[in-house]
Amino acid sequence: MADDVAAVWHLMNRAALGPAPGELAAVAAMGSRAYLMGQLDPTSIPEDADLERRLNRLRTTRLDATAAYRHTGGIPLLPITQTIGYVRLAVLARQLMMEAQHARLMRAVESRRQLLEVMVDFWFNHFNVSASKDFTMIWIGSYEHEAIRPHALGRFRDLLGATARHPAMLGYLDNWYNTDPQSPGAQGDFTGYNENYARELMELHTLGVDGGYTQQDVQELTRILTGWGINTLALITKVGDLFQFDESRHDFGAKTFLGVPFPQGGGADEVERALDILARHPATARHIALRLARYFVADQPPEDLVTALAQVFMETDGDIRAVLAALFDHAAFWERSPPRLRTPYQWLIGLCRTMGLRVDNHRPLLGVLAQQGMPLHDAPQPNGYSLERSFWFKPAAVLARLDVVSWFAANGNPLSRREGRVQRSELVQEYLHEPGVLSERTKIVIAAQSDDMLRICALLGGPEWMMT
Amino acid sequence: MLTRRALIKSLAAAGCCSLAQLGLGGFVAQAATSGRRLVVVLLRGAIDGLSVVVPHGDPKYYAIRAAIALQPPGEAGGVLDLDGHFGLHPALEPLLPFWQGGELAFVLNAGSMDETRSHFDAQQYMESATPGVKSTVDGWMNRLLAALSGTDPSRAISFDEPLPAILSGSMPVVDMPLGENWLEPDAAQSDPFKAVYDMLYGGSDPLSLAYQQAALARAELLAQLAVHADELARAGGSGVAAFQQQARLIGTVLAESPQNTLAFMSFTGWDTHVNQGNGQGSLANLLGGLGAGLGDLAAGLGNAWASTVVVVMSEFGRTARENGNHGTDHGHGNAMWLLGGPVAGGRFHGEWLGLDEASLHEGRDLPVTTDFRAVLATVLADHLGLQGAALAQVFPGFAGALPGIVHGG
Repeated sequence: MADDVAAVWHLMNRAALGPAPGELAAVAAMGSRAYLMGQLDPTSIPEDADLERRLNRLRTTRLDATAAYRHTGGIPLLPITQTIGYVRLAVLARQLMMEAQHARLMRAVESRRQLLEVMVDFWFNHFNVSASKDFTMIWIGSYEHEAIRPHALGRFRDLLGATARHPAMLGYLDNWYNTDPQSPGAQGDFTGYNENYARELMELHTLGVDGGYTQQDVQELTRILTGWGINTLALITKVGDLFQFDESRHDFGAKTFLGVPFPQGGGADEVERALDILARHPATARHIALRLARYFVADQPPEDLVTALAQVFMETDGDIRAVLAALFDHAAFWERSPPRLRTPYQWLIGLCRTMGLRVDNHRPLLGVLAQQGMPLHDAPQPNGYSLERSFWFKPAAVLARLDVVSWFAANGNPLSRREGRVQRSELVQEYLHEPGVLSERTKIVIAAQSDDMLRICALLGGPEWMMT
Repeated sequence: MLTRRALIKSLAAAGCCSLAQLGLGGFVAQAATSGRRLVVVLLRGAIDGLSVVVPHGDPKYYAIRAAIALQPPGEAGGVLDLDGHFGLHPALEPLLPFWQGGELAFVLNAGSMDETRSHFDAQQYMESATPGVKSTVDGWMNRLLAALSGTDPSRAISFDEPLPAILSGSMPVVDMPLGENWLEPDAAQSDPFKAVYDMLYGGSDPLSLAYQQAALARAELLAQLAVHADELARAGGSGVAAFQQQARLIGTVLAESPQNTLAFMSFTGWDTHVNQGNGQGSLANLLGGLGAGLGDLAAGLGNAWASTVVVVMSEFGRTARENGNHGTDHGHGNAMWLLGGPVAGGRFHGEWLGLDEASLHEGRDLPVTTDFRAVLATVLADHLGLQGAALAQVFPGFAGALPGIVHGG
């Protein structure tokens, strides 16, 4: 059943990163429901063969965390204060990051599995690690493809567990240092408790800051997480997996976490148990529901939507796909007004998709994102970037975006030596003839222009591409 | 053009009252009467205040910080003595003359009464000045701008990008791209593109108003700042060196016009959970940049330093004890720094309770005995002359003060 184009435009800008050339009409013909069913099951969508071929050429993006570390030649990570400059200079570490970023941007712009790309953006930001902290850049790629991407539409508990075991997270939030000071393994840089990960695990990743935990819970979770970290011997010998639970640094005493007794003598099983408790906690369901509703719908989403999503989260044991299906079934998702500003990432990827650009050189995109205050994989703090669009609504940002539009309009495809983009005149015609996308004012401004370059500026510089 | 601008930072400039109506008149309006200025520096990440103002006279300090304590005065890497009990971190040596000249003071055990140890909530509260209330939509410096502009057209300067919450609000504040070629006209404001965008955004919807404000403010700032082309070009980036350059530039720009009343800077990287060092190390490196930058700010201000108050604050303090990684975890109370000619300096303000476990908040952190808003409200009242309803507008529902921290105007 064919759908109203205006509704499809709305859908493609919220559940995807904007329509590719011709896609608006194609999805309208197929129907929104069929499109979403496909997107919720990304393996059912055949990926573009040329895109797969080019992704395969980025060979370091297939390395897991341990192999990625070895690829750098085993940069000495200890003691940490002496290695920061070293890592910055390390060409191979930078190559890992650059290839990971190229793969991310190529997929975001060119992949047909758009909802998956949207959720990778959402979950990476939710479980943020920052490339510029210490040696995190080595693991940006493996973190995204081992911990985030496989579970982005899966179960929350699996996603949480995968991030909790990844060296990127263990390094970024310092848990690899977290040690019972009385334990036999306490020595050198590993001599005491470190609360950093325990706190953010509750505040940001699961319960939310108002989720009802206390400082006592932070301390108890810190004790539970002692010894949960990176295998420092493997860092030196380059043999064995990097993730390790080090019993010799674990606090085996009895604990009480969120009111639940943890009897004396528990080891790594305590961490799994704590993650189970957190992943299934009603406060977590509510926190994730609120964040999804904020990401997809509104800065202050309607309460009935948040409640409904939290309920599905609880009933399905955190099945992300089921929660998203409920979101897409809710009337609030389809509400078109008031329009929301796109984040710099959504806006830039959306522009590239509209023009059908082939991303052979991703570096200009990294530059634009950094200049717009949203550098890729490098949100400065553990809470990632704000989900509230009002945060991004700054007057100068509007001018900065128009600079970029002008630059795209004046060049063929600045991201590739091959043409790899749709003809300007065809693009303008496509949108002029789709009812319900362009405002009357935008149409008038397009009509007033004397050439295709300026017509593209009027189209892509318009509020329809700034907001969604 | 675009790739060269990849790393540029921004200059934020707030329009005066007339900018809200998109007229230029306010920019050439009568000079402000006071000429008094306020600079706020927010140290994001929670600086370890016990490494800034060090209680070297208290043996307890050395007992709870075996690995990261600063040495006593006179020893290698030792603190710079301030009053026989407290000393200044040696990396802050550029600030010692201000202490000696009575232009640097510390308010001890200051902070937010809200007990959150979340960086993000605590920063939000410092910027909104409504601790515990997350629904506040504007920053207190934006509300201050509104209060000041009722009588004197005022402008706020900031390099932060995107515009920080503390400056966000109903007063139009516009961040401006800066960098090596900041003076080059931007494509969007050049022919043939400008005409297209002027037409697209000629309306009165929020996006159009934002476009119009940005275009106007950019033109105005380019005119005002053209003489600083070289400094502006160098002021991009982040980190220690960029902080120093931006601090000097902010000082210079503030001094040039009495309408340039407010400035805000932030400096990130203080979340020292691991190996923070003592006389040397990562924290010392950051403090070196901060101290030198504040010195540069004073130098840039020149004669205007005599009528400027600089407030340095952080979202909360860190644990009194060191943690297991030669670092410190999230705490509560912290020192607020006050610098500038009007400051009642060379002394400590607030209430110091020592480091005994019984005096510590929850047995682990410095307590908060002075609400940070009491410090700010007093600066606004005694230095900027804000009273009554205007003060209440900036700090809604708060009535505290800490008399005696600045010499009244």
